[in-house]
Amino acid sequence: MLLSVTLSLTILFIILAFRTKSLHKIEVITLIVFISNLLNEAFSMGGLNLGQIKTSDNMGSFLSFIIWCAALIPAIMTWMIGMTLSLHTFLWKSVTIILASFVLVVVEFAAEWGGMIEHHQLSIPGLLIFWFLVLLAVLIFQRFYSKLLKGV
Amino acid sequence: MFLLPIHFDENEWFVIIALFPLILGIIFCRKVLPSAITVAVILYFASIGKWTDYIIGIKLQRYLALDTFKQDLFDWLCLGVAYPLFGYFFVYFLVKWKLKGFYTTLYIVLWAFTLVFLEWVASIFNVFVYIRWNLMYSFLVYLSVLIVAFYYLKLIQRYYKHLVKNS
Repeated sequence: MLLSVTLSLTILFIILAFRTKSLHKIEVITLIVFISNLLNEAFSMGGLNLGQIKTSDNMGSFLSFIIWCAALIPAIMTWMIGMTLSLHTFLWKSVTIILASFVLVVVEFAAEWGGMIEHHQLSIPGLLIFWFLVLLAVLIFQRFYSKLLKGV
Repeated sequence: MFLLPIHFDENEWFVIIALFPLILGIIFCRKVLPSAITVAVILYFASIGKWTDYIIGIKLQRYLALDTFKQDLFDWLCLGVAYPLFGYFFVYFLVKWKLKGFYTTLYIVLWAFTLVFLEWVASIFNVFVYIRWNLMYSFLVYLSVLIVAFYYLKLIQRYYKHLVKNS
């Protein structure tokens, strides 16, 4: 059940990310792979090395976690970045990024509620700062990659 | 937070020595792919390597990589630098030699065998200590990763050409 919900949501958000008008298809793919890579680093360091997050021992929940972390969150973030880029003023872009950090915290709580992960040292401001920094890193990478694409 | 190695022994030296030819290779190889595609390919191999290692090595504990089931600095050098560079060379020669059809299949299979051979050499230096794992499984994993990489490259190239044509 959890696995099929995660898979369905992943497909839905990948479609939404590809429908974003402000990102090229090649940018969408690269951003998803980049975020997936970044989240693996974050979970390896925060979850594995510091022991702040524990993944489920149940194989179905663990597979859901892998899909959630490697594809669903990257797809959601790419879609959010695409929406942010389509806004015109800096103020609205900043507000959207801050709101997106809140949404990602909710998504992380949903994963805990679903039994995929278990937080050991939970700090909501810490999580908000973490997701805000991840979004900033993704935005910086998007700028860099967009310049690479234009430079050809 | 990066952990430092528990013991700095032959496996860490192996990683350092193996990185040299890879880095020199990427510096001296003539550019055959646009930078945007190169970045996409390097990210793919970094990501797939890290997730595969996370599932098989860390969670399922089928093998022990570099002394610990946690991620240390040398794990990162392996997964974040060496794997993507191997992936880059896989794509580099695929594009440079303009392989098609049967030759592509042969090329992918030969690369899978080469990677298994390199993994076997690495296991001699205790970079990998197999628990419930063997080189046959590694071959199947490499083969799958390379096949997906081939289709990923084709997709990226198609979108890139589309972008160039429309700009």
